[in-house]
Amino acid sequence: MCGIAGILFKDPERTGPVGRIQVEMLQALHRRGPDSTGVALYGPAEAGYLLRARLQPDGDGRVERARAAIEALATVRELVPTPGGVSASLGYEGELAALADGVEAAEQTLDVLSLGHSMQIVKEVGSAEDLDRAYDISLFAGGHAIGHTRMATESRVDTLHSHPFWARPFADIALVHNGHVTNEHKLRRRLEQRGHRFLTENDSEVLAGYLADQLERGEDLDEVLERSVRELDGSFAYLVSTADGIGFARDQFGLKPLLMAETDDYVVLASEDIAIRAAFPDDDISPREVGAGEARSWRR
Amino acid sequence: MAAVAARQVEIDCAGLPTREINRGIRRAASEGVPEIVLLNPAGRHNLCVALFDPVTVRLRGDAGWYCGGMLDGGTIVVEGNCGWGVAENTMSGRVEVHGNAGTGAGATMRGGELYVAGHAGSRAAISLKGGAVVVGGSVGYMSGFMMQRGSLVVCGDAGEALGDSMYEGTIYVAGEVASLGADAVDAELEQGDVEFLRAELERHEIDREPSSFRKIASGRKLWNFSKKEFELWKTAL
Repeated sequence: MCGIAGILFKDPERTGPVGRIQVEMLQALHRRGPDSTGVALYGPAEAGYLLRARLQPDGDGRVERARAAIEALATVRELVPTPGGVSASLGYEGELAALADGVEAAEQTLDVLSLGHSMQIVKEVGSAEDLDRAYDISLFAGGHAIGHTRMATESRVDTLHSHPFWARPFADIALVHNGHVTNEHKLRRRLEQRGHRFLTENDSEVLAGYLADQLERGEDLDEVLERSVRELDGSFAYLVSTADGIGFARDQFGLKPLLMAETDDYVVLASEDIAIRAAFPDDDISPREVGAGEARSWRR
Repeated sequence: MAAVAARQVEIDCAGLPTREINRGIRRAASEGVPEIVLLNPAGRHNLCVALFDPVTVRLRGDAGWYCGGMLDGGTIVVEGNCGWGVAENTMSGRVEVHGNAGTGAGATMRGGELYVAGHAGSRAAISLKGGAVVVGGSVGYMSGFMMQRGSLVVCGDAGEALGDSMYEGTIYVAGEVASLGADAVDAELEQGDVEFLRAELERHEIDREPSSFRKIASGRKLWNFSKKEFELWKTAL
């Protein structure tokens, strides 16, 4: 059992309090996932890349070592320490896989959590309120965001195994997932043979790579989501976010909950209504359950 | 002279544990209060479960999962939407949802009535054992699965595998049926069905002609079959 939540403001010219909305929704879903919490937040697109990385606690100087590792491959415009690692703005022209793998190879205590022009993934062990206290998530304004509260079932409870998963190494694509993908091993092998690299044993990370691999080949998000309903085995409800949109898919038996509500201004998705009402207590919206096997997406 | 119970009690759910809210409802109901209003339910789970007194509870907003479970005799009005398992295992009484309901609406009800004005999710009226589930909108995948008695009335469309493996009971659908489940078959709409539908539709002020409903019942082929009848196993599984 986990909780997932998404918010997208439809007007591409408008930003909204997506950070606050995520914190309120994820805190309301805390019982579905008390182990860890994370968000993928989308702000205005930058010419360069935004990097979020986790640093293992490994004595003094780890931030400066991280800076040196990144500077060896990219132009560091800004780098600030965060409670769990570093956040940086980079100038970089090459392949993202080379950048992510390169900095991790140069600095063993560093793991890249996200890379994108507009996306930043923040995730930690603990609740949404814990995450907000550490990272001021609720101050973030942006166009859209997805988030997750995790109840770990099959892999470790730590930052790396928390959601959202960056669809490594594709810029600005992230995924949150509630469920189990039982043909994950086949997908993992297939993607690894195509050169994908995964940091965890988590099926959701494979799912992120599976979706991004198709999107990067130019396939339409709706088609990718619909195909995933047929190709994935297991029980699942997941949200995927791209630079300009979010989408969802739910398994054909409807075993994992997912609700959606849509207005002229925004789309909100969550595992339970309790989350939607926490963030939109007074709005005249009527959340409905997503159908079994349903998949859909929205773009800003 | 016995004290006269208040005509209405309000409980503000904000900040209260669910157990405390449900105790408050039961306490007021046992004291003879005819109507209890819940403010700020905010999608909270397990509200109004195990309510055994003839009281009306109004929820001014959305309820979460299992609202009104095990109801016996009371009336629950949700002036919003409901999550999974609303009115689950109701014995008698009535639950009314003004918005949409999630998966398993009216699951295993043995009596009473559930009315959902909006849409219901997957597996509405699953394993229904009595009473009636009336949905103003559409129902999702596998509704009426393993139904044993009672009625499911769907004024909108029905998702795939409607009435799968139903033993008994009746399903009425006014809109499109995506597909029928194993051993669910079309049946003739009889005078008794029309009268039942007319009464339900009038009661809920739904502008539908009873004769426009399609009736679905059990084909009864799964009641008894030889385990060597492999074709039937395939359809059942």
